[in-house]
Amino acid sequence: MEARLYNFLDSRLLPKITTNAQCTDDHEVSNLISDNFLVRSRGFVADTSTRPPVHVDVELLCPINVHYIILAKNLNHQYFTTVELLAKYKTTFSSIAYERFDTTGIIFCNSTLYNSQKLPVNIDTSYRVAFFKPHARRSFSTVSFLKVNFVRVERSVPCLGRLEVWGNFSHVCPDETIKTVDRLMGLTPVQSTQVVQNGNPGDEFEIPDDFKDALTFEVMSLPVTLPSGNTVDQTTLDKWVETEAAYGRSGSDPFTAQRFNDVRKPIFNAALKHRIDMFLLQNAHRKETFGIQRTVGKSNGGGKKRKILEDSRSETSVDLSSEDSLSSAIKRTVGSTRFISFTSDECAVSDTKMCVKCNVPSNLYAIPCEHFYCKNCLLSVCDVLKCMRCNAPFLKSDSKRVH
Amino acid sequence: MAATKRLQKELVDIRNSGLKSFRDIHVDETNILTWQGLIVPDNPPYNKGAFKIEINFPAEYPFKPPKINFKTKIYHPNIDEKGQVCLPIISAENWKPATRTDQVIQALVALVNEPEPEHPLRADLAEEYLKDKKKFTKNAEEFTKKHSEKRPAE
Repeated sequence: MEARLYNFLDSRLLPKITTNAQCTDDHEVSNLISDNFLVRSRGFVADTSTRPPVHVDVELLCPINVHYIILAKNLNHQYFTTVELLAKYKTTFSSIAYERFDTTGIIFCNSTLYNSQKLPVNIDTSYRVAFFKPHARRSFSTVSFLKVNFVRVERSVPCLGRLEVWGNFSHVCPDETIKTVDRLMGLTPVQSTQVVQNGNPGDEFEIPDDFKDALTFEVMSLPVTLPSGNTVDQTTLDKWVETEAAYGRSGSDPFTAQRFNDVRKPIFNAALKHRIDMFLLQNAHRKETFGIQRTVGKSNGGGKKRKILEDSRSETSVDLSSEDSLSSAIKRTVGSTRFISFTSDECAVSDTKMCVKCNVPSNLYAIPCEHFYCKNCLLSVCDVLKCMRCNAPFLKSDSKRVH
Repeated sequence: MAATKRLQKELVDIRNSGLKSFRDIHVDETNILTWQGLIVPDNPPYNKGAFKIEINFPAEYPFKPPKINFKTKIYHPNIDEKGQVCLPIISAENWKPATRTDQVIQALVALVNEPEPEHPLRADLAEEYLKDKKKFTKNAEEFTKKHSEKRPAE
């Protein structure tokens, strides 16, 4: 019974997923089976114009015996959703569960394997637990196709933040298939995503070498791949380029000493960055990963980060930080000719400091009435000790140099 | 400090590799930037003894090259009386951060075994080496016997 459980919607097990609904941009149904954690977490959201019934169809690699199915919404609200699960082996779909729920997620358990005392391990306790229809037993012990049918959604659109189908092989599976699955999973089947996070602290743990800078052996926060194929951290490369600049040389590959040019240049490795971040998040509780930074520090690295984002914008789709895009957007808007300023022009004029007598902008002194004079004019005004513009009297000692 | 992780790894690697020509590596636990070890050459006239060296890594390592100093006196055209050695692989202009310390040591051992009189630090010895190899060998052997360290057991 405690045989290996697989999530048959793991991207490694090549599931297929379709829907009859129009999807919102970036929330396609295929996100649910993406191997990229960030894409997967975006989930599926149907277009606002969509009305139920909406169904999401899943085709599995091989017939499986379903143990439990985790289903979660990605729009965080407390409204009810009614879903029906249908399963098919060869001929027709038959309903295996029907549930109305208002929690963020729901777990449908195999009623022959689990009951309210014995639940699957490592499940999210905030999720509601439901069971398959007991009489549909034959339908869920051998499943190749699964249909999630949104029967009704209240004040919302059909959405899925997470869809996992955990189970093991159906009795109809030949050994060949089992071996294939083992191979696809890399022979180290993971019981559940949570198991990885909780991992036994006593077991062997090592940070993979490809997450480490090839020169300094520190875990990288901004991996860049060099023309030589080695990957180093952006800060390492910056330091090396700086060292080279001290000898009057342009940037070069620290492994081959080849100069960088338009074709041969370091490229930000976004995929590796995702993998490192994922790894550090999952192993954040281990002492080995303690103190490893996932971004370059604000105090010294802000500029570097921006630089690499600019460099890599052409090759990778790295999002600019919101702060950055905001300030640049403001600059662009204010700078454009069509921008009409509603603030008075006077203040703009008073911003540019000039001598009131000869309009020279440099070597200025201010007097208490906030008019400016250049040194020569100030000396002449000092004879009368009255401002030429507003006739306000002032003292010689009141004039102040302004920069 | 960028150097620490890298040096720790290099030290483990070098100790595990079991280099025959570089032994007895001592590193102060509080200062990983200074290594001491024993160069054990294979070729005559230096194969009668061993030579203590000190490798000093700058804090900017691996962006700046390490410096090597001989602590044992040696009669060699490329190593001067102060123990300074001229090794192209660790000169500032040739240095690549990808160069590992075991490569540096191998280059050093090769230089000790095969002197390069074309680029000498001690011109007198280089001249002797080129003009009268026999005399040089005899002098170097005597010098080695007199000043060098005891070779460690195989």
